[in-house]
Amino acid sequence: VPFDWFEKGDRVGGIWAFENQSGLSPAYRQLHINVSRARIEFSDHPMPGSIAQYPHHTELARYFEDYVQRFELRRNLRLMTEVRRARLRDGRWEVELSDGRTGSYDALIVANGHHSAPRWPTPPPPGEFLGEQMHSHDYRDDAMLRDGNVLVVGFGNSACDIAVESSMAARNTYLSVRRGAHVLPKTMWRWTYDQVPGLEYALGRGIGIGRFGFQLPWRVRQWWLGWGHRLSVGRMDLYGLPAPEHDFGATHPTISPRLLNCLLNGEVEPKPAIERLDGELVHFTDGSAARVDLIVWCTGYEIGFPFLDPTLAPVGSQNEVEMYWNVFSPDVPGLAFVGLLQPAAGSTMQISEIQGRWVASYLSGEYALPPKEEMRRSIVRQRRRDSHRLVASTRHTVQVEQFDFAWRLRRELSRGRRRARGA
Amino acid sequence: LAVARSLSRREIPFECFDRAHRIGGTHAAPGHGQPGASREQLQFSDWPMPRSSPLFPDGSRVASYLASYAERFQLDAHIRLEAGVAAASRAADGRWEIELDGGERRRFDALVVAGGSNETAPAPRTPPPGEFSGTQVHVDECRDESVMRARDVVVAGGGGAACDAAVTASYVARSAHISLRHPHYLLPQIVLGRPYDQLPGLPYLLGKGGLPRWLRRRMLEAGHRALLSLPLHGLPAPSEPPGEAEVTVAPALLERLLHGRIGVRPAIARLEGDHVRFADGSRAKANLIVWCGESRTEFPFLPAGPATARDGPLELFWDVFPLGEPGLAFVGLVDPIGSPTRIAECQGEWVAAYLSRRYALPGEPAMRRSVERRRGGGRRHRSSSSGRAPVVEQYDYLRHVNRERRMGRWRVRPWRR
Repeated sequence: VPFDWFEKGDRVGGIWAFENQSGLSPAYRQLHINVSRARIEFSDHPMPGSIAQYPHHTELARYFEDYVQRFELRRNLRLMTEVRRARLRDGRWEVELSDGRTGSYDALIVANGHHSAPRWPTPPPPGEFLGEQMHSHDYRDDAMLRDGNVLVVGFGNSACDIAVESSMAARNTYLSVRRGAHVLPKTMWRWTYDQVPGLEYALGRGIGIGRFGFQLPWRVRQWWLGWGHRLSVGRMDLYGLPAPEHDFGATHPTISPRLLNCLLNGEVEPKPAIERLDGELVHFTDGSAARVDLIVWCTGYEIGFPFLDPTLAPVGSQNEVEMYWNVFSPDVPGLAFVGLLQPAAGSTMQISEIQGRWVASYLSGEYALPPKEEMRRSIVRQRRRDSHRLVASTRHTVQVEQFDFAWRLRRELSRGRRRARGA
Repeated sequence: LAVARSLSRREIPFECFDRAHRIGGTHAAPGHGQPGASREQLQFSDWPMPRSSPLFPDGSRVASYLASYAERFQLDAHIRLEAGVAAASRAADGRWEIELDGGERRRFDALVVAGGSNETAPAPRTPPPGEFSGTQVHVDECRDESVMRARDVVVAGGGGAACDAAVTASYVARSAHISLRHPHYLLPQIVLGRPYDQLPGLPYLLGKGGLPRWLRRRMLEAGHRALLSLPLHGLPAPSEPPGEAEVTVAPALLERLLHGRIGVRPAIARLEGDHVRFADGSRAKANLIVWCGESRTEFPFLPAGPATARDGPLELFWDVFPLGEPGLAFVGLVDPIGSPTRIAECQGEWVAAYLSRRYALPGEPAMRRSVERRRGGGRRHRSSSSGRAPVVEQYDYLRHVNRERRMGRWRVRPWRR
């Protein structure tokens, strides 16, 4: 399939390209991926043995460079070229580029990620704060935290990483946690947490072959995962964290063994949600207060496509997406999104690879999408399913389980191939 | 403090001298990290730590807890701070004459040495051959991370201080290696959802109930293998069987190993200018070596004698009473797997019973036999590396000492005299 590839930054790697010229990478100096290497690597390009179990961002960026080199993708790639506008006109996509040129294409694949537009707390906490504030997107290294009292707000992966770095650099570190969560370690028993034998089945891989296979029921899988967590990490109140009100698997996983150690050692002090700001003081909902010099808001990101006509962009203000399995827009032909997901298990890289193959087989005519009504029904079904399983949050609108997705997609592909042959 | 508590409970008059300016021992020294045991294992059995304290309190919190303990049982009245013992010698009448740092001299009937084994030696006893063009420092000198900034660091040692230094180096230095001469058992803090030292059933693996040693070794080995993968972290196998090697709680080091930010190497074999050559033949660029001197049990204030040999293990009856030196006892001179406080309490009680004559030591030949037997039994490797405190398993040790205390009580019954 002939294609052109545009990238705003000066190199490939996206968020893993530290201080990318695009200005969109939120990577910080000490960022390591929290998925083990075997769960990141592309199936056709194994990682070299010298790469660590949980690679550093430099190692990942180099790996992506190698990938581009190996498969000679450089010829199609135009770096430092921003897509300013993409419009659908008479069934073709017209693209305006930052270098003034335009292009016309049959299909548009959006793979710009969703970690570029910081989401600030809405509504903001009442009161006025006199200290400094920043979003985790702008955090680079601990020189920004030195010698102050730091309050980290949020309980995602960046919040935990920043709290750990702050515990080493700052005088006092507080972590404001609104909702309890199950924090995962990087190793469970003798395996990395994501390679525990049998885990795939708990994460939705089917048992059996083809249409005779079945998935374990969600409740069973959740029970299995929950007990696995309990028998490795233990109860969250052991660490002074609020006990989660939801079952295991109902939120995006937070993976930070170091945060747990910092809590056990008293190096990070957990706090509940912020009630109000008052000069240099921050009051929390349990009535306690802390003197704070810097607040780091780790409150996530907005999903957004500034270059896409808002009538075409299938995303709402609360990050909800109207897409068939997070990839195809049911209403706009020739528009696909890849990597627009939060991996509930597995990694963005490996799920994107599967999505990429799917899109390619669609564009090459090997596969045909189901009719519009069926896609819309599927979206409604998926949203209903997510609302049962996941905690309602802007963070959970694009949650995808790798093994579950791969398992269901395999069936969908064979249906779509049959449709394509029949057409 | 454990000895002081036992002595005050038996109303034996005593005085306690400490060179430091505050109560807390090594915990009170600035920059000392987490002691490696959980709150429940660190606290005295009659004075719980406050519930607000973290599960794994750091040195300064432990020090203030110890100060509160001294205050609670009015031990601080007996403790003289900033009064180091410069010399101790036997007077002609068999009593102990103590000379303090200020030159003051005092006489006592008995001397209990509880100075601990954590005094670190500044440099390796036998420095590796070769020239080194970079800097060599002791771990105490690089509590401030700026020493390591943008340098190629090799940390030599496997204890808690070494692991902390290697973790710091992995953040600030250009490259970081840790050289493990005697690989310890590295552990995370939480195992199977509980603090590693509060696992149900663990006491039985550490000698409670008298399970045979071979079975306990097998079970500890299997447990360690099931809960921590050495190859995953790139760690070598510990040099001694579990129960005999030191245990270091190093969750941060384990994570940095998974991140590939610290290289693990064996002992340093040679220094080669701006490189270090290791025992396996590999080399690493280095311009800063951080020596984490192994803890040594040396007592420069004691007179030279068979009981206080400088080179070679101390000949102590159950790590407390030296042979042929009545009126002298050592407390806390063990490297326990399990709770250091329980062992100190037991030893303190034992010493107090001995000093109040409710317990009598066996004859010297029996004591010597016991010392020889323990040295032979599974700790051959240990005794070859002299000067290190012996590793004991908490419950195994307590079981044996408690039996010995019962037998000693029997020895002082009048009809046995």
